[in-house]
Amino acid sequence: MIWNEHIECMDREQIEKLQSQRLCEMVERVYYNVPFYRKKMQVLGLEIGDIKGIEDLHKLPFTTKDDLRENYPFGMFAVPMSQVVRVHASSGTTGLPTVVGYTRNDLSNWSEIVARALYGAGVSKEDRIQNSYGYGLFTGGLGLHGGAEKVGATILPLSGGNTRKQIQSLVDFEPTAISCTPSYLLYLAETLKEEELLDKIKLRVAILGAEPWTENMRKEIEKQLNIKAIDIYGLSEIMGPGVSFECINQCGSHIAEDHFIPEIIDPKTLKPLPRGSEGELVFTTITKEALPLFRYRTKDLSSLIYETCECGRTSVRMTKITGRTDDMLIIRGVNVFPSQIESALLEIGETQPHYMIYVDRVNNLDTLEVWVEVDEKFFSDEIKQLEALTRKITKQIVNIIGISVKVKLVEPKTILRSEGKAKRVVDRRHI
Amino acid sequence: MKQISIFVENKPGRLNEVTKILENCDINILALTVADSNEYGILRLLVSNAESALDCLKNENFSVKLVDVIAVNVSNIKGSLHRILSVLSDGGISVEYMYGYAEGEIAALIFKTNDPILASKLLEENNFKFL
Ligand SMILES: [Zn+2]
Repeated sequence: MIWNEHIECMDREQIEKLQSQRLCEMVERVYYNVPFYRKKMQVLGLEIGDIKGIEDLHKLPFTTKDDLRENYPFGMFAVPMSQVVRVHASSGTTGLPTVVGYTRNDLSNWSEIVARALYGAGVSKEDRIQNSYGYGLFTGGLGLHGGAEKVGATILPLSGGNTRKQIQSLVDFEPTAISCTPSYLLYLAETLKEEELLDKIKLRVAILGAEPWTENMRKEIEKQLNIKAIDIYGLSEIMGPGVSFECINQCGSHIAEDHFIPEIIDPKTLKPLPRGSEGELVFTTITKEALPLFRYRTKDLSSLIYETCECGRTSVRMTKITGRTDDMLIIRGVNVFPSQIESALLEIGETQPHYMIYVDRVNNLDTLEVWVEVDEKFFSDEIKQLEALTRKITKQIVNIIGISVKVKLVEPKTILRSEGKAKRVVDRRHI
Repeated sequence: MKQISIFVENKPGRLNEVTKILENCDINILALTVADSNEYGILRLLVSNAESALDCLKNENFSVKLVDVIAVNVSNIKGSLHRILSVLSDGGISVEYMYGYAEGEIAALIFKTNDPILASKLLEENNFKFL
């Protein structure tokens, strides 16, 4: 199912023409309305006329989360507040939240791209969707809501948390689709299994996002719930969920290129990388009115696929986020991503993805410890078998990350579960 | 007979926790042994009602499982253990672990073997009594 065939299947030449035209309009709008960017352009000696199309995109300055914080709360808005009809904010783990705004057109574009995502996942007006993303300042809840309304699905606006109610709704209201974070869905699946309610639900698809997750986690979710698990990607600075989405082929997320131009850069040199390379994902918003951003650095690691997808969409696809440039742990000089450890654990096949990474510094040497819950599936009554399991996990992790690790088996349910973004790393080094 | 095996981390109070749960569930412990490594141990118990002990501990999020073991009654005299082990080893059975207890004239030995069915048969043929 394709929501907007005209745009989603446009040929490359045409979409680039559209992007170029919208980019030039955006540059002019931003130059006159956002002092922050005007100053930056002036420093670079850049004039409006220097940007003639997407080939000039690399001349524009980058934007970071810090820029948004320094202009907290509304300093980077390009329209007067009378035109801003909604504000969202993302809670920062450090410091001030990042505040974003939307005009009426922005909200309408947002619903449009989420509608595309829902159609991509096969969700239409025939479906009932349990929206378990938090409603509030977080963009997840209301973002999904707008798109679901647009396609005409029946929305069950559960919002986040309150697992009891979530379970009751899944059983009593029989939604066919659910939207939430992948780790929370695994938590719900576990609860359903414990209460022997798995055969009482009618879910067939889940639209999951707001945190990075691996292919193995997808397999786990699909197996436990017997559903299709579809990725939706977004970040509030750019719009919210729907910036890109997977179609049912699950082979990369289609980017709404008529609204956002993606680039992949080297996070160190900041130079754009050749097509197909992995690097930091950067977006320029070409239709946003309230908060247009030049080359926003997402800190997400991905790569771009330009070939037409099996589903018929021509829009560029981004590969699954493999990590965050800022989640990256540097241990004894080696880059380690928590997602690598997760995939190592899932390849063992016997463990559930509940783990915690502890990084410490002992006598000036970084140590890495991974705690893994001993699930009943592989609990053996013999020490030698548990020790063999520990060795197997250790070997798997070492193979993937290339540095030594200590694996510790812990009792079930002793690692904290979170209902939002899962916390996977405790870095005790004070550096 | 069914033994219950429990994964416990080596931290203060964990064994206590298990015995408290069992007491609350009205379960009596008949025999007990702990196998341990540096960081965790496996608590192996013979209890009055293994099935309900399993449920109680599972409800408290312990990793537990029921394991087939053989519990044999022997007289508390020299050579008893040796006689049993001879029967098993002559029958080609290997013992994965064992533990026991003695009280007055009676002793009991609990075995986990690679082949519980054959082991029971051999012991029965040699007139051993099961618990
Ligand atoms: Zn596709």
